[in-house]
Amino acid sequence: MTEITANAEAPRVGLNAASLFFIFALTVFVAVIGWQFARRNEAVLNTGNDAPRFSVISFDGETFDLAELNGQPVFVNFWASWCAPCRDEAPILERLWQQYRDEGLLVLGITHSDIDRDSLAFINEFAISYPNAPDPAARIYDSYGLTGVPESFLIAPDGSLAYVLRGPLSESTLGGLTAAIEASLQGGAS
Amino acid sequence: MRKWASIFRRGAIYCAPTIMILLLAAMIVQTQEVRVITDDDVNAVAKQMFCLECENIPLDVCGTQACIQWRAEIRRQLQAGSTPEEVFEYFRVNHGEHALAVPRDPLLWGLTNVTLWVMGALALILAIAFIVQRSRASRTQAVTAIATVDLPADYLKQLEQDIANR
Repeated sequence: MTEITANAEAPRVGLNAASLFFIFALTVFVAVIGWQFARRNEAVLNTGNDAPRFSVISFDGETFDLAELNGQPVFVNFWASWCAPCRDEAPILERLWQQYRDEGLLVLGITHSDIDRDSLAFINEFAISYPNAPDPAARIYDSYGLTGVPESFLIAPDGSLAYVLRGPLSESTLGGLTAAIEASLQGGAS
Repeated sequence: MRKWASIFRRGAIYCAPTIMILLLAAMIVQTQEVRVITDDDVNAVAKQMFCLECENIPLDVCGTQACIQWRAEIRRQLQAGSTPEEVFEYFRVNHGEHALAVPRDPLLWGLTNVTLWVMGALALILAIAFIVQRSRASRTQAVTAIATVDLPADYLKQLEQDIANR
C-alpha cells in the first residue's frame, strides 16, 4: 500500500489583522482602566504636596482666591451641617481662628453636599465667625480628593500642604495642628 | 329709642370696614389654592436623585441625615411652587450632575445611555469577526495542506486510472 506523505506547508504562526486589532483594543481598555486608577491615587493629597488652587465666594459674598493668598497660611476645613463630627469640631475651629487670626492665619470653611440654608443655620448655631463658602458641584472637594467630611488641610505660605487631617479635629489632634500652624506662620512648612 | 339708633349707626360705621376687610381676606384665601405637599410628592422627585454620601442609594430610600435634609429642601421648594424640573436644576447647579439619576447635560446623557450599548455592540462585532477569521484561517490551512500533499507518481497514476474507470 502506498503511503501518503503529508508534506503540507506549515501553518502560519503570525497574527492576522483581526487578532492584532483585538489585542490593540484590549490594551487600550486596560490602559484606560489603569489610568483611571492612577488618577484616583494621584488625587489623594498628603503633606508636602502642592495644594490645589481654588477660588470661592463666601456666604457673605467675599471672594477668596488661593492664588492671591500667597504668603498667608490658610486652614481649609470641609464640613456639612448634617455631619455629626463636624458639630464636635466647630467650637474648636472657632477657637483656633480666634487664637491665630491676628497672627495671619485664615480659617476657611467649605461646605460639602449641604443645603445653603442648613449651612447658615449651622454657622449661626455655633456662632462661627471665620469665612465659610459653598462648593458648587463639589469641584474643590474633588480636587482635594476627599472621601468624606470633615477633612482639613493647612496650606503653608508657599502653597504646599503643611498638615492634612482626615477626620474631625479634636483636642488630641490639636497639638500637631497648632505646631504646624505656628511653623507656617513663621514662614516655613513643618 | 333715638339713643339706640345712634349707637347702632355708630357701630355700623366702625364695624362695616372691618367686616369688609375680613370678607376680602377670606375671599383671597379661598381663591388661593392651598398647596399640600405629601411625602409621595417629595419622594417622586427624590426617586430621581441620588445620595452623594452613600453611593448608589436613591434619595427617596436613603436614611442619612444628609438625605433627610435634602428631602426637606425638596419639600420646601415644591411648597414654594417650584416644579420638579426646577428642583432638579437647583440640585444640579449646587451639587453637580451626579446628584441626579439621569444627567441633564446632553453629552453626559448620551455617554451614559449610549456608551454601554455601543461598547456591547462593538464587543459582539469584534467577537464575531474574530471567530469568522479564525474559522476561515483554519479552513484555508486544511485546503492548503491537502493541495500540497506530495504523492508518489505510481499512486497518482493508479488514482487517475481508477477515476477514468468509474
